[in-house]
Amino acid sequence: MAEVKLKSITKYLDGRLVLKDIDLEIEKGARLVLLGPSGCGKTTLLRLIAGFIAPDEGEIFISGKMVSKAGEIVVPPEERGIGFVFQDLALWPHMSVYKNLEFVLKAQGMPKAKRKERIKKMLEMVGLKDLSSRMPAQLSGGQQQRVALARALVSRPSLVLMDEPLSSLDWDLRAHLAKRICKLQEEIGFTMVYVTHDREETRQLATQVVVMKNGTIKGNGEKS
Amino acid sequence: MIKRLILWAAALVLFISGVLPVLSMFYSSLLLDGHFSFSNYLHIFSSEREWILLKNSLTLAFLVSLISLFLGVPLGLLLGKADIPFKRQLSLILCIPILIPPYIMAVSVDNCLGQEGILRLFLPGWVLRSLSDHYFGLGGSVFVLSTVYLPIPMLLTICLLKNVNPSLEEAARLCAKWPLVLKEITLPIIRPGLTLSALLVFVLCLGEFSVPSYLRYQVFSVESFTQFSAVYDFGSATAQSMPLAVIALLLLVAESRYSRKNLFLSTPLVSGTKRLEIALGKSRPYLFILVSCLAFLIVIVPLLSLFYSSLDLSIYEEAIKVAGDALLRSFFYAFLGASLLAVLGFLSAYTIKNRQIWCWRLVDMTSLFLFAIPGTVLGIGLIATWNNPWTQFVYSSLLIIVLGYLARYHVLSSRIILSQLHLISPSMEEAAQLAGAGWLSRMVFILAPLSKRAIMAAWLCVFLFCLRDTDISLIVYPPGCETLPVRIFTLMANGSPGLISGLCMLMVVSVLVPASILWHLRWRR
Repeated sequence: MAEVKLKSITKYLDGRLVLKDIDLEIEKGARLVLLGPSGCGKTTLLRLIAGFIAPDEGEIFISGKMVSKAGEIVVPPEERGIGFVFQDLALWPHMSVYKNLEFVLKAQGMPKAKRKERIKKMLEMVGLKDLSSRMPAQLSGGQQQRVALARALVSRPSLVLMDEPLSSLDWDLRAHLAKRICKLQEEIGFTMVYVTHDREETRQLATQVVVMKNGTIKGNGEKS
Repeated sequence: MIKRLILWAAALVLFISGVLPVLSMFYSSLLLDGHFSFSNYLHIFSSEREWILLKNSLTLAFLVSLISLFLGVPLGLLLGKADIPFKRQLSLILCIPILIPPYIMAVSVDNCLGQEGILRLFLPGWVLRSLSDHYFGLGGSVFVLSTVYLPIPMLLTICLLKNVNPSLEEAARLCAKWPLVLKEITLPIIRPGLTLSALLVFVLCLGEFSVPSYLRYQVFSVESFTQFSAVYDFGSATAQSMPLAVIALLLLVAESRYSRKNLFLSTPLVSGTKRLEIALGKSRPYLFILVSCLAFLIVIVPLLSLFYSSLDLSIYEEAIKVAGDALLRSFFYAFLGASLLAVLGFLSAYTIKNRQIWCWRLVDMTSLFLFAIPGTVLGIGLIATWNNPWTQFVYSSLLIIVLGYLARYHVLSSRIILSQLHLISPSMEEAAQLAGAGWLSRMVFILAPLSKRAIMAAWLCVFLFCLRDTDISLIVYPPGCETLPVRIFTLMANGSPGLISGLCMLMVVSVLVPASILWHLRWRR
């Protein structure tokens, strides 16, 4: 069964057609890369899957359950079990690294002892266990990116969406972090939808590539 | 060279119109019969009455800031972030009290509670009598001033919410419901702004004179005004104003330090991205009714009562006869003040944004301080500065009122225009510079047109504040230069209630027309 299924999705923003009749299935455990130029509707597609906006036409299914339909968000974002790494990382500036991760687990009602253990393990996985008390502003770009990744994964979601998370980093760091993302995905086994306009990142990360242009899908295939 | 000259001149106008009066007032409070003396201050600290006045002032300011914050923030969240219907209209209605002279709200509520008031149609006599008995004093002052200053935290919350990076809330929404997101993410991020709004209400309340005076609640600002206007004890009036000025200064310094430590910068919204809106679901109609009832009770009912008690054409004919000239003067002074402040605000905003002169931070802090100190303090200071044989042309003309406006409302124009200048990329000016345009050309042909809407909004906002100004005008107005709020306030002692209501309605309408234009501009943005 597909982890995510988009059925005839159309979306207008401020009267402008952004996505037109999109049909897409993402298999469980896949690393799907959405590739396309700026303004082609990649981010809007992620926001639709996350449940921040509703489609104007069509339906969205996650794990077989309908989560959005035309003009309506059926399942709100917090009940979709999704992790999201934002383009600007969106680390909460008034919270330490530990608190950034803790908020996610606390919102799910996890007991304190279990939270502590889970956060420790997650920070070890991304190589940040010594920086848990730092504030986001005290971290380098690469460290911030790893915190954002840890926060998206700490609740062990089955689906993780990433919106050009490496775009602000230099080439070496990007390559290093792309490898780390692949490793984490293999270890944890989540389904990943990764948005980029960078072909090199696509080559490193994708098991499935979807090419978008002007709000439509121009190509969809497994990576050889 | 010309750039520095113009920017320094703009800063100098602020210092001459605002800082000089405060300093010269402080200096004159240290003189007794031409000799240096602390006796005015010693009198304040040794008199029990002065301590009671201080306690009353602080109690009033504390209660009003607490109430307006606890009502204003939830209202700001509902009207700025939730899908409540008619949010623009409700926001405008709730903002009316801050746009009119505060004492008009006091008169309106008094009208409601009076024997001929509109509430007698709905409430039994004993309830009205009981409410009326409690109205004069602390209770009434807190109610009226909370209504007047409620829009400050409400509007600031709405504006601050627009500055929160949307992805911070989206990241939280992926795992938590709205109440937790607001509590743990949104409100902590905008907390410095909310603190500023509470402090602003506190210091504005501390200096508020007309409402406590009307409702006979003894506070420092009323006493200071009485000492000055009735007894003409300049030294005492000044000394009594100083504690308020010092409290305002200390609070602003503390706030500035706190904000600098806790400021979380946000990124502007990427075009095409929509902010998340709180879907109220089933509670939507109930919350709409709740907010509407609040707006109806604290704004519409008092103003309707004012209208009801002036329902006679002859009242308006008399009102125009008595105060027509004052109304025209009010418009002219406000026009002059707003036009000068639009230019000064633009230059100051440029100075602050680009740190063009070494005292740019002082310009920013001074303008905030001059807004926060009581109008009576500034008014007495202006008289202390300009009432001498060489400067009679200022003291005895409209110039002294305009100088008061320049000092008091400078911060409004500079902050509004500054927020726009921050959105203009520096490369716009750099490109013009590379093309050979001089500084003046760049200002006139590049920055001013790009900031056109902000300049217009600043002009209208300052125009409204000048139009409603009572505190400064009442103290400094020379003979023949009365403004409408001053004329109404002076007539209140012996004018007929019907005429006073008519004059107050005239004032309300005069303010609401430009306010509606400003509102339209704001929402179109």
